[in-house]
Amino acid sequence: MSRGYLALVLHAHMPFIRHPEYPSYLEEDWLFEAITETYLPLLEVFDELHREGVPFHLSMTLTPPLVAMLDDALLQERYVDHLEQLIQLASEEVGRRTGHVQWLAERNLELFRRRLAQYTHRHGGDLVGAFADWQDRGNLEILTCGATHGFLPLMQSCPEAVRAQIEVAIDSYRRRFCREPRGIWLPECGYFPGLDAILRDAGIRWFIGEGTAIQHATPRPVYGVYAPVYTPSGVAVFGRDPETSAQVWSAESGYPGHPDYREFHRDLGYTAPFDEIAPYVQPTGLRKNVGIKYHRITGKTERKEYYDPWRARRVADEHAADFVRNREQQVAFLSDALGRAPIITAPYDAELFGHWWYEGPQFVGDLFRHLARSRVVESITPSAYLARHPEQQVVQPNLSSWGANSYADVWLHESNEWIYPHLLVAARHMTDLANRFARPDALQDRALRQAARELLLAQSSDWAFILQTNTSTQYASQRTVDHLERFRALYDGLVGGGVDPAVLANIEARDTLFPDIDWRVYRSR
Amino acid sequence: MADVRTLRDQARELGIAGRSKMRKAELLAAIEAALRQHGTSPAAAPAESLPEPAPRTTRPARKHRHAGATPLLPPLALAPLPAAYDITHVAVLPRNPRELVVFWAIEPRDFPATGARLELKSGERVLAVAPADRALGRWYFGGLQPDQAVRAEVIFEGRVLASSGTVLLPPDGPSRLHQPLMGAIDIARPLATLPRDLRQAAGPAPLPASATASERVWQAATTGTAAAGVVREADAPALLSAERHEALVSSFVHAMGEA
Repeated sequence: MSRGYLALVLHAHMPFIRHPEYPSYLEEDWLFEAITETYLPLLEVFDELHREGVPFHLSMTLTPPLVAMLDDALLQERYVDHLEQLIQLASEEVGRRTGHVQWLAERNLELFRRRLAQYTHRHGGDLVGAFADWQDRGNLEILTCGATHGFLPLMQSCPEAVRAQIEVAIDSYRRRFCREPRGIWLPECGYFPGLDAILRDAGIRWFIGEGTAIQHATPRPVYGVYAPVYTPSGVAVFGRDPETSAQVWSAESGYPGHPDYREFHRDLGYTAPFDEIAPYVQPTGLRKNVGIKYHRITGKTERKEYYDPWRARRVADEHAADFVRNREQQVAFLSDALGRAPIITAPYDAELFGHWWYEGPQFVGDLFRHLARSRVVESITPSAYLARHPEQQVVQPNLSSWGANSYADVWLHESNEWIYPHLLVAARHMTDLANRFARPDALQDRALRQAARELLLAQSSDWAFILQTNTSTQYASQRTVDHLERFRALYDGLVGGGVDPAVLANIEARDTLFPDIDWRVYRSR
Repeated sequence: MADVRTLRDQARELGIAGRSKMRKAELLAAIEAALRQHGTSPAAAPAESLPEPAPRTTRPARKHRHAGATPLLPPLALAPLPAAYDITHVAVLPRNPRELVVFWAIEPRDFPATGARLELKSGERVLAVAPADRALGRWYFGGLQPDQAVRAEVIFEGRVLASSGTVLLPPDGPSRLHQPLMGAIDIARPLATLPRDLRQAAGPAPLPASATASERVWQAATTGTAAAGVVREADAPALLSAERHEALVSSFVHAMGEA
């Protein structure tokens, strides 16, 4: 019998990026890289743990846009293309490198071939189904999320928009996983008082919150973040533990910064002579990351040594052991201090494991191997915890997020605030449309569906985040404007001169998310 | 008759969700439905407007990347976002405990051009005033008191053109209220069977709590092992001794049962 619990929660999310209008599109690589480096490796780790008889329990969000993209035939086709190119490049690398780098190139070639076989033969291209299988086996609890990862605290002036983000997501989950979701990952862990009532109405039982959502709640929660709390509406909140967060996320002391781990920023796409890499860069001739990296982090200088996978593997195991040892100490201390079994909630972006931190999936596997030997801590999912421990404190959490400063500062910033006047009006217009059309004809019904899709896509928190972090700002800005303009064109058509079937068909072909969306979800209640 | 594997492949090509869990009959039905919908279903994207993906075996992948930037769909020429909207509204977007941004739109026919103002209020108290001199605008307010309910109004000549909903600015630290209220909820039962606000159902503060002891437990729970020194005192866990905990839980479960 353990003295406490660890709830590992991985948030797998990608904004909906699908460009059928072009033969290839740079930003579609985000999904492809995540499949190769995170989703397939995690599934492989689950297989390994199962084969070894290691008990493991964790939760994962598969956000509706990610599910839609993983299920999309066009993107599946393009992913296989992408992987075949990677295999071709790795094969060329084996031929032109020597010594240790050639050995690394051979390993890459073998790995990419294995990933292709895993994707096509082991899973038949159906990664969502592969994760769903682990849910059916009881090892994994899959959470839902906001429909398009909209940051809900900044939508609270339009409750219909908040409700639509939640209900469309749940409907999508129900269709895909043939069950009701119990947990939700609020996009960016964004909560505001009153949101829990909407979640309750939608049948949600718990969500993950930022630590301060609980720590600053009223009345003061006596167990801090080491027990969930019930909101006034009865939906439970599991608060992020700052200690486990820092051990992984901290730029200074976090595990992923170890000198022996693979260096993310030294990619062959930028280091190889151009003629070697030319067939694999952007159509414009600009270089890009290709996903082949030969160096380890080494240190903070530009001088990088070659990667040693065996050393990195050992370090990942040591880090997993350290992580579990720290949780044991934490649980032992807290269970004495609190007089009950604490739960340590450790949520992370799934793509950290594998994409950013190459050895992350190995760490996850080793973490469960070490946990299996622990008599102090056991892994658990939030739903299983609530079933075992139904008594919790009732508090009112406050507005919070897991962004910098723990509030809404990241998503409402001078770099991105220009989007909100338009988003707010579009949300009100969508409710106006939903209220106005009692019996739409077939064309109007299609236009209403598409208008709902466009609004949801414009609301994705990813665009505001990217604008704030100043990375792919042109793309994020263009996506926001594109969806708002498409919404506006449909709105004008519906309330004014009629919908243009050619324009509607063109927009439908681009933005295919939620084919069964019910726009009536936007009606005033 | 095609086997399940072939049907799954076909379902994949048609983008049928949930195919991995479908039995043969379900797969057949779903494929038939998808084929029927093609060309008429809105989100299925009209087949004639979608590019036909070339078979992988006939398209050298390396050349694919150099297919150029030729669009495969006709470009969309849509009107740019307007500078004003045919709607009048105002919304408060909280940024953190002390800052918020108010966004407003005033329908052009209502827009007075000058003289309209924005008022930020807490209850009936006016916290700040700013000019609303654009049909589509925003105004930043900082230095506010945390943990208060605020709203905004757009006013012209004493007439309220638009009023926002009330928004709660978050507190910037832990609550000073020490009234632990425990509840037991069965996750197997729908929440709809419970009262909408559990605090009211359970009644006011079921047991008085020692602020000092509560503070120690809270420190332990929020600062983790780093606070080991803080909680060595014996009275901290006593706040939630078995009897006390049981008393709290019982009262709440009972209240929920009645509700």
